Amino acid sequence: MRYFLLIGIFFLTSVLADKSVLKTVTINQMQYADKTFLQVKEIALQEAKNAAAKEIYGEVVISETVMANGKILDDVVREQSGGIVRIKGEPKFGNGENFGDIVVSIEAYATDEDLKNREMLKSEILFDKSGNGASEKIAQVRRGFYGTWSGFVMRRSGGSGDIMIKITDSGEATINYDSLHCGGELIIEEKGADLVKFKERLTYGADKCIDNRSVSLKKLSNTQLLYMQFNEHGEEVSKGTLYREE
Amino acid sequence: MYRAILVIFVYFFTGCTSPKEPNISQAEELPSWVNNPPELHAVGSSGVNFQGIYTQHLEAINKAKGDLAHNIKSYITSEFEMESKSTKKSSSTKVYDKVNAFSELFLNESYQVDAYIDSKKRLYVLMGSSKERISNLLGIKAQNSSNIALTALKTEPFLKEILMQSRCYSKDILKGIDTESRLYQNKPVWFFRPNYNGVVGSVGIAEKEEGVTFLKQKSAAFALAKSALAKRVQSQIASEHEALKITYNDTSGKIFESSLIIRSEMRLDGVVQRDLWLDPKSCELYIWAVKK
Repeated sequence: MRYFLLIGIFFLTSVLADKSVLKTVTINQMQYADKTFLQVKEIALQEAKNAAAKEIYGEVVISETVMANGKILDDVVREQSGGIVRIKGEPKFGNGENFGDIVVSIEAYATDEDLKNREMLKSEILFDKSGNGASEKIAQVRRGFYGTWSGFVMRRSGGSGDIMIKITDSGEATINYDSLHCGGELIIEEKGADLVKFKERLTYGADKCIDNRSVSLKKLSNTQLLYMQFNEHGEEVSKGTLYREE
Repeated sequence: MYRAILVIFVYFFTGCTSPKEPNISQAEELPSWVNNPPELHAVGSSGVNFQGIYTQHLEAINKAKGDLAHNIKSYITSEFEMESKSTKKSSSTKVYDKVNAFSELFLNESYQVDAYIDSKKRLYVLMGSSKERISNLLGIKAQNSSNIALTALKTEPFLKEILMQSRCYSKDILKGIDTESRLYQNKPVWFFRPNYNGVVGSVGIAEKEEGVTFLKQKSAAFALAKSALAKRVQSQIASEHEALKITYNDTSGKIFESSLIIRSEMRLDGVVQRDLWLDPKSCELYIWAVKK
């Protein structure tokens, strides 16, 4: 009678196991030097269960790519899978081909009910769908040169002094040579990801400074720029590091 | 006498200089779609990227997708501002001309049709979408779909001997990498045409990281291939182009800025690995995943 019951349970389990898969996973102990042998076996078993869940329940692949000015800022790919995974019998452990390999084989299944329950669960929201996170990353890149920058520059002629540059997000830029009491507007001629070139047009103190020079700003970091000024022959006449003012 | 010595002197020194390189600035022949993409297609390109071919490929694909989205539907705004000042001494005119183009849509079934790598290693990717899908998107009646005719590629067989000389992995692991497809421009043909032979396919490329096993690299490449397949089926694209022209008297400059966000969330079933290839030099692993 007991044998009939066991055989009955066995067949019933097989009928309910609507989706079953065989999975074999190999991991190498060397990669888990800080773990005990039992812990490594547990990791191998977990990986086998994960692989089975992916096959039984399918996967939701979530990805997001953020680009600014043709360059990738962020690329995230996530795979989400899960549901109840049942194991038939005991996992079988063995040695693999290479030294330290642990091989685990399982026969996993999910019942009809498990599959139905999984369908009812909605995938978790992994991304900020409002797009604020991505927009912030783009804004950081676009912010690149925009803002107020100040610093100390050295001139080839021997002098030195403080300067301040303000660049608005609409592309308007001004420059002030405080120590020379002159300044004016910077007209953007060319803008790349890390370098922006301007033509200087003095609006005050033209008798103290030379007008029509070229100014280049090179991005060193989010808070530092390299300032370079060139004369009409393209020779560098002054240089210095500018810092972003909050 | 002096003249003769000078001639000999010049002769010897001329001999010392390197011979002039022949002028071989012949324009490289690129596939016709690079400059003239067919209707409902867009081309994206990207130069060599120090982060590897995956990033270069992704950049090119996404640029093309962004352009495709703009070609389908975009919202344009423009601003024009002129400011004139005149004093007794001088007068000045400042002009701001700004154009913004926004595009935000769900693009279904956008796929890589072809790709090409030029002599400077710049990668060009041709992306397309079906007429039916775009007609649906625009709410207009679908017209007959047209498939573009691609030229045959001059492929070469995959040579296992070259892979076996690689130092990427041990000989035992390399032995197990059997690339079935032929190669074009030293890469598997499916890198250029992931849908060839009528499959719905995509490519994932993972670089070899220090201390990471071949299985992990393979799993990363497969995950990236699946992600590419999900993006192919449906992706949400938000793209913005901004062109600003500033003129101040006789000086003018231009700024062009662009941003793009591509998102995808897709349940994928029945995706299998059809082929794989390990770049023997860079150790990047390419996986071709197809939908069953």
